[in-house]
Amino acid sequence: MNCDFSERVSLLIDRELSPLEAEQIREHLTGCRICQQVEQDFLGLRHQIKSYEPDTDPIAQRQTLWRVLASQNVPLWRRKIALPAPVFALVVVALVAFGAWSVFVRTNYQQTRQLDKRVSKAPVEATANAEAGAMDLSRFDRGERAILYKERRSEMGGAFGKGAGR
Amino acid sequence: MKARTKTVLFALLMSTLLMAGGRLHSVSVAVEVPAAKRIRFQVATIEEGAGGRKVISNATIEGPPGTDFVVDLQSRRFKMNARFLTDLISPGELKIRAKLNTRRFYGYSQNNLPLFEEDNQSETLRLGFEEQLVLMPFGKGSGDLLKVEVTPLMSDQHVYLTSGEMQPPAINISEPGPGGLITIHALKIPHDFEVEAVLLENGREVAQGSSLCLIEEAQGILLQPNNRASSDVANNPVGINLTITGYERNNPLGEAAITFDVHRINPQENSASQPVALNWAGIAVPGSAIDYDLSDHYLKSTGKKYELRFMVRLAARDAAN
Repeated sequence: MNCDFSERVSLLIDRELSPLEAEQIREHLTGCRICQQVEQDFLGLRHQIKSYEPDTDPIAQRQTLWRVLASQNVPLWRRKIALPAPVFALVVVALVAFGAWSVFVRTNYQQTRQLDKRVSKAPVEATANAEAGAMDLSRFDRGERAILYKERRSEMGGAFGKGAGR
Repeated sequence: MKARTKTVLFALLMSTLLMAGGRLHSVSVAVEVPAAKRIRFQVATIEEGAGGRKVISNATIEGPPGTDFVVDLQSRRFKMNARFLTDLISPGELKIRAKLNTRRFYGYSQNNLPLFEEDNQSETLRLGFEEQLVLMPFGKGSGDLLKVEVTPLMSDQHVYLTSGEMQPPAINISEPGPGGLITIHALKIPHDFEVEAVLLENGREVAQGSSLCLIEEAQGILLQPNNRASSDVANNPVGINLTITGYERNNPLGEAAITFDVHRINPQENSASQPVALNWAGIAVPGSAIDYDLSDHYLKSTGKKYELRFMVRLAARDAAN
């Protein structure tokens, strides 16, 4: 069912028609059941809207308000940031490079320390090696004082003039 | 010359001789020997035992007359430092002054600290070119012996290059000892110095003496009062026992380290001398004066200022070098 005046019924209820048009619609309503039903539907809906009372719990309102305000003061560790993908990739690459450099530096430092330890021990080792390599003269040593004297050398002269052997 | 003056001078001479410990007669500053050739020392370390002679190391040191050298012997438990100061005192004779320092590991103390036995010796020998020095670090004994033979030779190399410069000492090691057993160093420093000593009384020269000094050898110098000397100085002449202990080439002229004792000679007590200053020392730049204030030590009762001034110069031969 449809009536060409049904739409004007809504306008009548909203008082948006001129007085002449409103009078014509009211005359129509007296004889049109369709428009009468439409008027009843509009008026019922209007009544329902006007009679609606929202449930306004003050505690719930305060809690909601607190949540809203709290959402604007997020702790640093809970904040989220948005980065463009290339920037994020760059940051990741930088972090990996820094980590690799740190490992390299640490390893190099430890090697240097080990080398230093070896170098600091070197004179002692060198002395020890030198002593180990030095000729053992203990078989000549009977605890006597050193002596110095002169003698006439042989005609051949020096160390090799006396049948020095090897 | 009056008899009193003669007596005083005789007493001064005798005092000086005594003060120098009898060394005055042996002060043989290297004479001007026309030696245009270098001198070579062959240093051979030899082991002698039942198996005969075995040369362990062999080296030659060659340098101008007056070249000094050091032979270091080092083993695990024994070290020897032998320093030889050489001077050509005549065309065929060398004066060798040897200083031997040995250090022998003895053991450990109760606190586990190493103990060493050290020995220092000094020897002065005159050595002809037909002779050789024999150094036995462990002494003479039975069984295996270790010898270091030092044989002087007159080199055919000239002291000076054609450019006029002196050739520096050179060492040639033909047979190095095993394990760094022996090391050799050689150096040439001035040995002969002219030392002039002056006694000043209130700034005036009242006594003077001079002498040639050989490095590291004590030398007596008698300060002869002059005609400006007061009776105090004339009756209390001063004698000096001076040693040039070293020479360093740390500037163009070098520096000579001196140590000396000053004695006041009392002629009336037959050469008895009284110490004025003992073990004084200083560093003298050749050609520059070095002064010492004796006022508190010499004739203090007179109230005069007495100063001792030394002037050390290189002897002509060393100055030319």
